[in-house]
Amino acid sequence: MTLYRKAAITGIGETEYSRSKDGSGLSDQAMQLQAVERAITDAGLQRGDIDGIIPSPHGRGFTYEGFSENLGLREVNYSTTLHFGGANGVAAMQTAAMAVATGVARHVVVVAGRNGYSGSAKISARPGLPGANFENMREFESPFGASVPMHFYALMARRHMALYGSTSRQFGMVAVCEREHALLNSSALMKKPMTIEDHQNSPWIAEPFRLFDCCLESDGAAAYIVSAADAARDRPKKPAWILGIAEGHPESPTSVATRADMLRSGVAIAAPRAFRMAGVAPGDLRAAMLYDPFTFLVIAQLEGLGCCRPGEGGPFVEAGEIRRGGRLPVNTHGGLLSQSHSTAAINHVCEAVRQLRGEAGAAQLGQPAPILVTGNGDFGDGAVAILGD
Amino acid sequence: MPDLPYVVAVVELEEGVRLMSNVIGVDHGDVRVGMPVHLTWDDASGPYPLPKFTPLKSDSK
Repeated sequence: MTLYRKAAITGIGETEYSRSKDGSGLSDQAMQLQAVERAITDAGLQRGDIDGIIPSPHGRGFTYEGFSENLGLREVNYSTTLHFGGANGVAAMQTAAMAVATGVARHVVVVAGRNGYSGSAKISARPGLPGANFENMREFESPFGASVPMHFYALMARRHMALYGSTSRQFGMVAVCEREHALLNSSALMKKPMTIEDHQNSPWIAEPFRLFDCCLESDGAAAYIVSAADAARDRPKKPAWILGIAEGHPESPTSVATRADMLRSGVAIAAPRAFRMAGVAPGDLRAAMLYDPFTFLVIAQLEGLGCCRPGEGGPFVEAGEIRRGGRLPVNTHGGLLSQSHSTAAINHVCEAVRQLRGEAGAAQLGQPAPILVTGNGDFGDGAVAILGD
Repeated sequence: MPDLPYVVAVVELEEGVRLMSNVIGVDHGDVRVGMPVHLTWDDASGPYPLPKFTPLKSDSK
């Protein structure tokens, strides 16, 4: 048995995304509740229909208890929390699909969100790497000044440049293409066009990353509902069927230095399993929502997924192939770089579902299926979902 | 935290072990992936001396 077409996404919900020093006006808990309620309404369900919940550990949100009490859930049959950073939102799709495919639950909601700009969860305001996820990095790597995410991903990017000749301009084209998409999306935070010169003129943050290679920090939450196959068919909106789903994890997850190949990420490790389950080849994809905390990771994932051969991701991007109208449109919502960051990839899932439903507005693609979504977090944890209609 | 700018590098020892470190004693723009380096202990790096690396002399010109 596999999870092929055993579950579908039946509802999505997002709060407004914002970047204001005055704050979002919502606590982390309140914005998570709002996203969940919107997903329930979108799915045509009642609160009491939700019998599973997968909250994110980021920020000051609820565990299952808070959702149960504030939503008045009658019966929670399944709850778990993952610890894969930005991979959570897609990795949770696998465990949610397992829960509904086995009859443990019928409608599982996945939620993440925080005040990542105005609140205490702001990554750039943290002195270092918190939590047990990063033990060896904190002890053996941070003393050398590798203390925040961009330092570690900068090492990977530099290695890719040395191995394959990829360039800062190629990284910059990721930001430029995603900005073009964001201008089509009213919920995207970044509203001004960006040229490659804008990118090249932006200051170094951690070489080879310039300011516009780094994603936003923002406030907001998002949620989606995974329903069992028989419960998905009678929903008001077209279900987004899970064709393939897998999570993957890098060697020595809490140390980047000791990995035999620091470019072999969880997304690359998970990808063959997801494609095999879906019966889809990388060349069959019509669009991809790739987790993009840094521009370079889009290029790395295009290669890790098998959409480009190693070293060909940069030229592929530079040729404009990830634009709407290119061979593989990427992040038609603007991604973390230009829409919003704070939902552990759930904003990427929401955009994939909108594309499959034909609800993507000005960014709508003519034929979006099959569409791939990734999450990537904690320096290499990854998850790959392939969705179809 | 070292003075800015500083070079963070993954260094592979001849024995095969890899570790995070800094490359010092060289302009940061001259550091290259694959550059041979040798160990130097940085006694000024805090309560514990840290193993850091400088380019091998033969490679520094």
